[in-house]
Amino acid sequence: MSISDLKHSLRKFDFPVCAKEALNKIEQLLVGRAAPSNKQLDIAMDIISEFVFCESDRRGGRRSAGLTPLQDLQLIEIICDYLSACTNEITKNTIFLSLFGGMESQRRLKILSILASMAVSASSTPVLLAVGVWLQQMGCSSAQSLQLVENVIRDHFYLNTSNQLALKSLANTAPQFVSNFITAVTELYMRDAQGTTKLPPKNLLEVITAWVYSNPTLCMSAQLNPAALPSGSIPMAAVTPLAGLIHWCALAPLYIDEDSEMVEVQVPVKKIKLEDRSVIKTVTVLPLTESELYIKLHLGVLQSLRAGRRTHGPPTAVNAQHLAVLAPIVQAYAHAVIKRGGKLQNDYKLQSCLDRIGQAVQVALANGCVYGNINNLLAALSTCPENRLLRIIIKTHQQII
Amino acid sequence: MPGVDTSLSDEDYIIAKAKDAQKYNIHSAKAWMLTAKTLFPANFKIQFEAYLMEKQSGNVQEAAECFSSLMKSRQHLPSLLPEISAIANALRSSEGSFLSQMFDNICPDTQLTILKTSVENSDDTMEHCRLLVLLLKKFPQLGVDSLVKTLINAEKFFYDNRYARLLVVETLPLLSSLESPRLLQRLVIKAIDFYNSYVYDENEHDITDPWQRLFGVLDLMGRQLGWDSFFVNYSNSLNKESYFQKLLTLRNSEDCRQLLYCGTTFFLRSLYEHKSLKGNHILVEALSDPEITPSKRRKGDIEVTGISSHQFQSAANCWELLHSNELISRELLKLANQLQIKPWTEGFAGEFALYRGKYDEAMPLITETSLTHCIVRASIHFCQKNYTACIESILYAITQLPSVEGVLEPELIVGGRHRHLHFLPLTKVAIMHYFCTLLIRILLTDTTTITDLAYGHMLVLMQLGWPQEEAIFIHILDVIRQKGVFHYHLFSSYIIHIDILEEFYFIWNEHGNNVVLDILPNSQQHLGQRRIGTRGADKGVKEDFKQAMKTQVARSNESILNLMVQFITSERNYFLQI
Repeated sequence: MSISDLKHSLRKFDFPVCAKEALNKIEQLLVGRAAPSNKQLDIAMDIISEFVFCESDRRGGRRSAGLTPLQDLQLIEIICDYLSACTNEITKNTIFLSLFGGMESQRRLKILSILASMAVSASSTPVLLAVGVWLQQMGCSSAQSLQLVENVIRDHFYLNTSNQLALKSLANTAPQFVSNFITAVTELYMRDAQGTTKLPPKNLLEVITAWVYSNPTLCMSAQLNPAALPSGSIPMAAVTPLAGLIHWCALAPLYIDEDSEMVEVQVPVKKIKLEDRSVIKTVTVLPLTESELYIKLHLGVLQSLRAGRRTHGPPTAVNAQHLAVLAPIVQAYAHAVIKRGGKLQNDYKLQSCLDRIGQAVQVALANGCVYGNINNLLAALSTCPENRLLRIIIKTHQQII
Repeated sequence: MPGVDTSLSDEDYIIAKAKDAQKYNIHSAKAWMLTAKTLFPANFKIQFEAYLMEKQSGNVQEAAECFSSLMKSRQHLPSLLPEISAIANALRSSEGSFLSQMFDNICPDTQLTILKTSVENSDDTMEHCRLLVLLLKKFPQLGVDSLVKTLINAEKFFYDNRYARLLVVETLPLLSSLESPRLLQRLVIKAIDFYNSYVYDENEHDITDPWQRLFGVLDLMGRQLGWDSFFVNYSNSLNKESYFQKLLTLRNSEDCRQLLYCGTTFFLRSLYEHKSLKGNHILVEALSDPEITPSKRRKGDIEVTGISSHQFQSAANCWELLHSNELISRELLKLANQLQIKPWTEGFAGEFALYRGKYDEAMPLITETSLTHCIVRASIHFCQKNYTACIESILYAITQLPSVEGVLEPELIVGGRHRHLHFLPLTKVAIMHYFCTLLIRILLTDTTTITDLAYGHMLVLMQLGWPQEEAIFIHILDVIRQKGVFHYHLFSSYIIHIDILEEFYFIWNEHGNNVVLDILPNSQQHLGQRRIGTRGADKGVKEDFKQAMKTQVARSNESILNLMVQFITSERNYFLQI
């Protein structure tokens, strides 16, 4: 069938039927034994533009009107149905990346964001897995990924806080998505050393803590399960959320004012002391404060690092450089303490921060999770303020190296 | 660093940090321990602290992991011994404690090491064996033989029942075969002894199915010695009759072991059931009456009735079978000598003698004068037709009657001509009923012609069991009608049963003055006059009779039981002259 015949046959339908038909035609064009030719790719892109997103007219010219919000929703439903019905992962990812893989279109990104958000609400595993692959291929820290993730957070962690159970189960059904999602999320918060630092909403923190703490393999899942990509495409390396989470947990003591939370904490602490040890379990049922959540998340990260050792091949879990950048942040904080006339040795927040950095680095190194220049990392850590654990760790690993 | 001493070693510093954190936040403490474990992977102290921390927080899975990694190095074992023995203890108790749950989360290889270590390090033989049982329960492939030998050869074995229990209850079920038949035989005897003692021990109740378990042991032996599987199948033994019939077929087999062990087990069980059912019943010679239709249940020439008659007969027949020839008697004696409790020596021996009609053996000694002995003695004397001695025993027994009243026994007389034994309950009514029945028979068997007085006494005695002796009553009425006269001056004192009174009133009415009933008090002095001069004319006498009968009827609600006691006691001189 020639291009003109193909387009002609599609033009017989109005939107949204034409979009549905177009998806089938694209599948025929792009999925086969060999990689599609450039010409086939061009045709597919043309069809997507004209019949799926209705961006161009029959002459290839720009259509200014585009889809109405209602049509957006109709299209999302069609794409959702298509992806859910798709039995082959490669086919699904091929079509998905063809639809949304371009860098330029804000319109498509908007539709994708709604699609992803809906998939989260509906716990639609096939769609979420496809979004996970998209995040990875675009790069979790790319502007597009961050925009999508922000959208999901706005819909599910700010506006709606009653859906934690459904959200928590995603870690089991779509771990690759969740892993890439967290990697992107860690880029959004606690990035500034000074001034106003944006902290994740408590609801988001709770869900991420639950995800990581109860699934030690979650953070590695995007790396351990390579995306099923169309032949000929270049797979992008998955970046685990571990480095980002280590940042969060280590810096949390510096940014969270624990005194304001103490009122809440006081009661369960007394309970543990007074009663039998079995009470501890019932105590943890009480909602944790943010600083307690970070402590739990930190332990979850350490456990994930323990599960991050690869049986063969070089380490892939954490980049040494990503950890080394913590040093200047801590130094800046230390300067501020000194400026106030405080003592670094007695600054509880600073010492907690250093302890957590030390614990994370130690567990990561001991489990062979760190790649990149470890000597640089150790050197960076040695510029941090005095902390006994860090000293022990530097001493231990410099001996080994 | 606040709260943490700077002079500590690196390991101790981190442990101190972890313990400090544990006071406030378990996650923080675990983060420290996790770090410590990676920093000092070979450090026992840290590994053990990590384990303790998980244990204290009740994390089964994590504690199991920590303990497993501790177990990996043999050099740490000595330091772990207290914990290992705590685990072993936890496994023995039936509650699902933390340690036993933790044990279940440990991989089998390490489980085995834990159990083996605990076995190797217990010096007490008992403890050693208990642990071994635990080990074998988890790892049956290790073979039970050595444990069995240890147990059976343990010095304390023969005076400490705990060993027997461990051997019989815990170990034998694990055994699927044993090389040595001799050893197996010792085990079977031990098992018979243990369960036989157990069932009579009032303080132990935890084994719910001792006999079924004992059959399990027999099964083990039967499989080894090629026995008929019928005998070692517990459910077959539930039908006592068919099981016994099948046992009979073993009577003449050359290897008597099958009969010995299965028969003894069957005997002990029947005996135990008999004894538990029997309670306050005693075996006596009861009566049979050819004019009553015989019961269909009876087999053989003896009928036993009453509460535990079925179990008793099984035990008695089996006991007989186990003495049917010299060989089996000798083997039984050897086996019996190894039993701590010989339940047949008390009670059953006497019952068995009575059952077999060996009256001399069954007769209580002259010095034995309790109620039970008196009843048995009366029973035997009756059968031996020593009526005076029988009545002496009855009179003596009546002075010792129990206070429990009880009810009438319907099975005291059965149809047929055969011998009949009955388990009589030791209640006032049952005993007196039995005595009255015996006395009626004694009065009936008087060799000379039976006097009116004897007939009158029979009428009194038959009131308690009424209408049991209705046939005799009708016979007495016939005799009275034929003779046309009946003298019984105790009538108004002792005859109060409404049926008897009605019959007498009927005779008096029906036959007019053809039958003279000389039964009213004070009538004896006028007897001559009235007979001669006032036949059919004296209205006043008629009114007297009616009035006297009305008085008797008015007494019909009185206790016949007490009346019988009073009657026999008052008339003792008469009875002793029979």
